[in-house]
Amino acid sequence: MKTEPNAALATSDWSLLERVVRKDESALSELYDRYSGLVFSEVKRILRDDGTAEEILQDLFYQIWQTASRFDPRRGSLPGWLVVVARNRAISRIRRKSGKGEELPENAVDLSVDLESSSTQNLLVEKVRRVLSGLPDGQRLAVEFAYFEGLSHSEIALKTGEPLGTIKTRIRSAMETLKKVLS
Amino acid sequence: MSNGQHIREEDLELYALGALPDQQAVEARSHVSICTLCATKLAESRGHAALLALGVDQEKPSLAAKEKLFARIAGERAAIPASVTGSPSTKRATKKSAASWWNWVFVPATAALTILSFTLWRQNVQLFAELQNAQSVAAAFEKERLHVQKLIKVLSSPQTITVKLAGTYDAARNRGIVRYDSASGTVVYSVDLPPLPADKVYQMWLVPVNGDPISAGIFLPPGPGQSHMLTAEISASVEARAFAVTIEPAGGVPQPTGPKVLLGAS
Repeated sequence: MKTEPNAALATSDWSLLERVVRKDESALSELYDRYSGLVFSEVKRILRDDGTAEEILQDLFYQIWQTASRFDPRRGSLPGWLVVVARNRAISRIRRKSGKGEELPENAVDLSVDLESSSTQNLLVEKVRRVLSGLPDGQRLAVEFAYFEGLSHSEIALKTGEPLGTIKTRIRSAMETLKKVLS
Repeated sequence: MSNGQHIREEDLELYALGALPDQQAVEARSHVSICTLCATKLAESRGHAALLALGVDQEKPSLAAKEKLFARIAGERAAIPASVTGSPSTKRATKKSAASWWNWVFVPATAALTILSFTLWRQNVQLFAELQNAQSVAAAFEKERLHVQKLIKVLSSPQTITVKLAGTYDAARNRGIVRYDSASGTVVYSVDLPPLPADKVYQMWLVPVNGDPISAGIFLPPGPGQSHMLTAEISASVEARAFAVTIEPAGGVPQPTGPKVLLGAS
């Protein structure tokens, strides 16, 4: 786990979560303002439905309100967990497949970037979008099919008519590019 | 999919991205649950995959979504007694919340539901008691109905014999009547007898053709001028030679010992 880049974020999120544990609504409100846009945009991209996206968003933050004591940002990332769990729940809605709706234990996502402030989030959004738009179409489509539509590599191969090995390579290459640029 | 005992990095990335087929995903999940090393790598891979969420057009949810969230929380608070809702600062924060007006809805609603629940509980207890009472009355009626039915059957049977009982010795005014169905062993009798001391009872006897008298029950004397109809069951198919009533100690005796006050031959 990359502790240094996340130190400031972890401390701040931890502090807010500690207050949420004590049932401080203003702390939850701050966390909501910080991450709701990120989560909502992702879920809406998957479901293409504002109402359902807001429903999943509300359930996630209500879960934080009820179980904040289980989170420890020093061991992981709250926004990372939010994003991955929101994605899983959205995919479950559209696919109704048990294997795609896995619920993660808290702190099971190690996000290597700082998303604490809105300015940092904006910079990262621009950076990721540049990286994705710079990928070859085959690579970009492969990761988008997997992440936003919940397709397995074999389903992507079937959908695109490409060999399974090609799909795997494209996904891996895309993720490597993403990691290198962001690190 | 494993390289030795661990999951290959390539498969971990696919798993983090949600691109592993279901069966392989189940295997990966099972392994990660027991392997700290793979769990750590998976957390990193998930972090990389999560970055894809930043690549979509960023939008803010509606203000109503946030209001609904805090209204839901306010509803939860309203359902919890004030003593366990947290520190005073937390309570102040709640008051400042835009959703605090929900308390005006949920607190009275909760109180009303509590009163309603208590009222329904009391009604339920009362109805249950009434039901038990009605069941007891119904059972008593059923028992009485069967008794009357049996009396009618005995009294209307052509096999039933009638024996008039007359007073004996100095009890000449005493009288009674016995109806006896030997097929069922049922004895039905009605007597007119004077009161007895508290430690005495009357006892009805069937005197068979052969053998010792058979008790057909003990009874207390009826009130002045009242007839006293009683029934008793003895062994079936006993041919009666006579019926008699004696005065016996309270509780009755196996064989007659006291004076006969009624007697009648069949």
